[in-house]
Amino acid sequence: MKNNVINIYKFLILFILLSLSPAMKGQLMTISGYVSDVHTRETLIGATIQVKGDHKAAITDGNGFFSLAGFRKGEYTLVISHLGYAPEEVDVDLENRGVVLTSIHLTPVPLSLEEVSIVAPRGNEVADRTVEASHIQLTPKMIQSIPTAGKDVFAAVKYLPGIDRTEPFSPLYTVRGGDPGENAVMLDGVMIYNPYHSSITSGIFNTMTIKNVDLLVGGFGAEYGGRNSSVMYITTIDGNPNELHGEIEPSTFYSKLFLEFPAGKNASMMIAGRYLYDIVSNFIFQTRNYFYDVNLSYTNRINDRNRITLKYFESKDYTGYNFNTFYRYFGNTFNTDIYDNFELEQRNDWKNRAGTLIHKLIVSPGVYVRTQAYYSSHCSKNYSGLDFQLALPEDDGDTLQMEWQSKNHLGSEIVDMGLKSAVSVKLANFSELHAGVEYNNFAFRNNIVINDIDNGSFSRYPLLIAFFAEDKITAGRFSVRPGVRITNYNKGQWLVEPRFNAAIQLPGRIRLKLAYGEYLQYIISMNSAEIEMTQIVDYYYPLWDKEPSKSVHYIAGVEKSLGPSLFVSLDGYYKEIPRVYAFDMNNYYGFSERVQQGTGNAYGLELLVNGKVRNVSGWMSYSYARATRQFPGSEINDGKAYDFDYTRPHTFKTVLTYQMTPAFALNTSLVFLSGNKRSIENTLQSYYYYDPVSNRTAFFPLYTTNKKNNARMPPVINLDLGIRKELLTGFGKDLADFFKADESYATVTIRNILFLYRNAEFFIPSGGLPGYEDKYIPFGSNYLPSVGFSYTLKF
Amino acid sequence: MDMHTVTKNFTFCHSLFLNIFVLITPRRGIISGIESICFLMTKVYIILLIMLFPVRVLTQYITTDTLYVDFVPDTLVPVNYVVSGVTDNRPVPPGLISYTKKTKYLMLPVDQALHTRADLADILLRGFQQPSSPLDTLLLGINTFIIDRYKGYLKNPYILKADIPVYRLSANDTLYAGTLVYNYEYQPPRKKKKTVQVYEQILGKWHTEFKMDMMITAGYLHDHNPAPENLVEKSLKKSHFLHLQIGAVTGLHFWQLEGELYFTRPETGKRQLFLGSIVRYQHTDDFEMIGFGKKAEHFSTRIDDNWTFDIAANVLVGFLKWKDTENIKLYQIPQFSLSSFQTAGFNRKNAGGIQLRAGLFENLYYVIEMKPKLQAGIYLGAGYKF
Repeated sequence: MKNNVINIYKFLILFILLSLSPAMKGQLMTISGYVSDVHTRETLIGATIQVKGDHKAAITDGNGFFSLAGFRKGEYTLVISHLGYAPEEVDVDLENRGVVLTSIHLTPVPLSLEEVSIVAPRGNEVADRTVEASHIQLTPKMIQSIPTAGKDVFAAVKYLPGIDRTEPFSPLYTVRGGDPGENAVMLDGVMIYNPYHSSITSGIFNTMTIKNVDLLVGGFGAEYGGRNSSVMYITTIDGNPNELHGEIEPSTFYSKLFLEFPAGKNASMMIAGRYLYDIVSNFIFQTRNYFYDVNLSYTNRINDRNRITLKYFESKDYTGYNFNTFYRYFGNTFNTDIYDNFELEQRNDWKNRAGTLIHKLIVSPGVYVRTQAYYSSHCSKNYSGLDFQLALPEDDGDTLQMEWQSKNHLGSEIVDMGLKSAVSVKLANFSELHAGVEYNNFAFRNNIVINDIDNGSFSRYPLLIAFFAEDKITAGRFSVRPGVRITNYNKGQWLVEPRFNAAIQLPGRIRLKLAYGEYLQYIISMNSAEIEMTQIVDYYYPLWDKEPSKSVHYIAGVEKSLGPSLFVSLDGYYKEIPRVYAFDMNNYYGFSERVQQGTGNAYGLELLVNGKVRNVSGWMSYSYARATRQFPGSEINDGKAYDFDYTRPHTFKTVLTYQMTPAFALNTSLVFLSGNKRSIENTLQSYYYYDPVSNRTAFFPLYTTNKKNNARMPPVINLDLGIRKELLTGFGKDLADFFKADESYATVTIRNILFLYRNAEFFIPSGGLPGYEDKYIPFGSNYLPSVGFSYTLKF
Repeated sequence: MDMHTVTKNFTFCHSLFLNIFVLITPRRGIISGIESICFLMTKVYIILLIMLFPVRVLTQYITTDTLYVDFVPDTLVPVNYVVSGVTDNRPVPPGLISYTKKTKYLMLPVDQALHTRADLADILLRGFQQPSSPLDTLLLGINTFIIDRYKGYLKNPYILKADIPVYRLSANDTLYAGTLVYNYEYQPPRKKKKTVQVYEQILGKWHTEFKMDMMITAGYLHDHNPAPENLVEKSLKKSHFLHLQIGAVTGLHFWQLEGELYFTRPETGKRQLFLGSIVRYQHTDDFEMIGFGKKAEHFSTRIDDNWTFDIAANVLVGFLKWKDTENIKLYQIPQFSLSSFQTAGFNRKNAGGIQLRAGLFENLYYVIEMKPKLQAGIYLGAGYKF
């Protein structure tokens, strides 16, 4: 195995050297450069560069960089275009060497009503991903168009096909039958762990700072690894080097701010922040819930070939739910008072930090290097507790005082320091090689205490080294991208992850896409749903002395253009999961004994219609999905196969925006999720003990069954409406005029219009209460309609 | 947007959704619940479309209603000066004079834009005759011109807000003379009239007053007569001042902190009306309260260039954090308050800077199933006027 790896490596180096040699390239030259907005100087992703009178064309990549190869000596005219900008022509005179152009700036033009769309137009995808089989691009406009997404990336992605939420109150999401811990979230190339806010069950990323979101939900290329399900790559704004601009959303509970401004010659800064303090919850439930997040960015465009960027991000969450007070109010209102004293509490306290230094260098017109060093950390301390006293009448007329207690503490910390470097080489006009190396140094510290019993703790410091290479080869209507990723974890074996993507342009504006990939994951997530009220964060566990979890993706998709801005696509996927791990929290002590190895699979079909017709834009999707797991030899479902958690066979989602006038837009989102299976504990063992201090008998529950998904949940249906209206009068307008805002609008959101259909999302067992022994209490997070209102000012 | 386009959009959306929906609906009943939910979903969607259908058909009327107002300038009041030009400096369409809001079908906010039939600047220029022996040549601008509705609890007049800078032209120079500031109040008659008629009346009455003010201004510029009260000689860079005010109240068994944010127009007379938004935190022996009020109504009277007397009234909705929750019910969490302030304070006329206030506070609050309670206290506040 080791020899094979070394041979592959030698071949790649030789191939690169030969490709760079003049003998290989002949007299052909390359033109490259950046494309950016003339006012903001933000690089433009997905701008098209065409050679006048020639078929050569390129699209700017995630760095806003393009490269066109295969030119002989002579004069050429490049036409650069992007939706929302006036086209620009640039004359290039090639003598005897390639050229790196001075940054090309495009001037924005006002869009007519018919051109306004919430959907990212095709051709604006990141260049490397024109062969990606399962790639979705989210723009800030799309995120803002979803009424109840609250301008949040993680809330918005759940309206996309193949992506579903997990627990109620939890921001975690699942992709195509994968575990929530199998999704990579990257912020400007930095892996972010638990990128969620609990208070509003959303992400920690301020949409105001986001330039672009690329979502790869399967079959992604060799550049990305370490996760088996999906990659969410978020690119943030670098800042305007010419003038001050900003955006504010002022509110008493939840405010946001964004500023970008020049910071010296050729340099810019961006500062953004959000804070939320749940005042009402504090007053009603006497619980403290708040969060804040901060983004800082500094970019220096040293010259046309050199750029350096420094970014920092921090977020802090504190969520406390204590139902004691609420229970007392409830009891007083409805005259119920079963329990003498009732405490149900969950506290979640966590912090994220990430910092990165990025250097982008154009070595020569055909060679582009991106080098990045980063630090990312996540630290959480979570507590779930249930404590109540109950007076039970006995046959002899006495009263038995019972106390029920359950307390669980989970602590988790992960630190990731990484260094990576990638080079893109335009080998020929039909071939572009992308190769790189990554080094990660991890630190993991976890501990669990269940019912005052220490269930183990550990600290581990593994290393991960990865090399990757992929070559995108385009020949007429065919594009293929073979690639390989080679990883070494914790000084173990070198393991190979082959990848392959292909796209074929067929007549009739039809495109066929295929993808194959093997994915390895060394860091898994512990499922804590059995001991926490709801799992809000991933508790990362580094595999030790175990092979990595593995999944193999087979994807085929066909896409057809129905018009200039309307597309329909049908994707089919099959995921073979030959190795997966789960934690059996209840039956064993210590961490490593809880890890159970198993297998699984997932398959499905996704139909998506997206684009715009006249003033209506958005998407509609239908998905059919199935996923299974099996842990033979374990007590999880007695070793038998079962339908994986969160799998809903049928989902229908639609998000539509109707731009009625330039000042008024109507948004609607409709989600239908068919019923899914959940695990309901059907036996309960209680451990009794006598407390001589309080002279009471106390007990705490032990859930003994490992039966999985034995109950069927009903379907979920949600309909929300949003109205986005330009501010013309009132306090908001006065505020906009005072700050000389370029744009000011109000958003009204009406959630859960179908509230009469109550969405029960899980059942709580009554726990053997007298008279309720066999009953389950349905519970959902979305019972009542609500109306939200916010202002936004952009200047 | 014409009806044809709107109808086409509606037909497209409706048919596209239903066609796809029919395709994906399970053909065989998996469980009866899914089928009934699909049916319910279709019904609800159709109901929603039916609700929105009149909206879509009548889109132009509903979302961008445009009303035209006849503004006939007064030409009876004679002038002894020449107005060589009027420049509209507003970043809006040249005939726009107001936006009003209506709510249609219970939830859809609709804007109505009111325009004069000709450009506002042309209309104002037409209102000035050409005298045979003019004393001065003047140039006018329009920096602000909008008619709003003031929606207080006790008063709700129309207010025409205008800032008209006046320049005096000489052979070599254009001299800024000041800005005529208007906060012209008009209380509509009880008998309801059409919107357009009301606006025409406001414009007519205002224009007459404007011509008089121009006469006085010309006399002030040429003969050093007293200037009109609403001529602000310093350069006004903005049409509103932003006030941020923080105050504290102390009383028997309670104390509170209050923050207020509001806009005011440049002052033209002794009295001024404005509305503010309030956030209040109150601490009593029984509870803590956080409350919000959207319309704190202020009646301000100017004592001199630096001092004002202010009476304010507001309605707040608050949330209570009870100290002893033993017998408290869920519906006793919200609190409704009616409060009032009488304060005097430092507030420079038509200039920014620090503000100070002191005075009296009264509050009547009500919690369901409890007796209303009255509080009284002393108020001290400070703020800044931007």
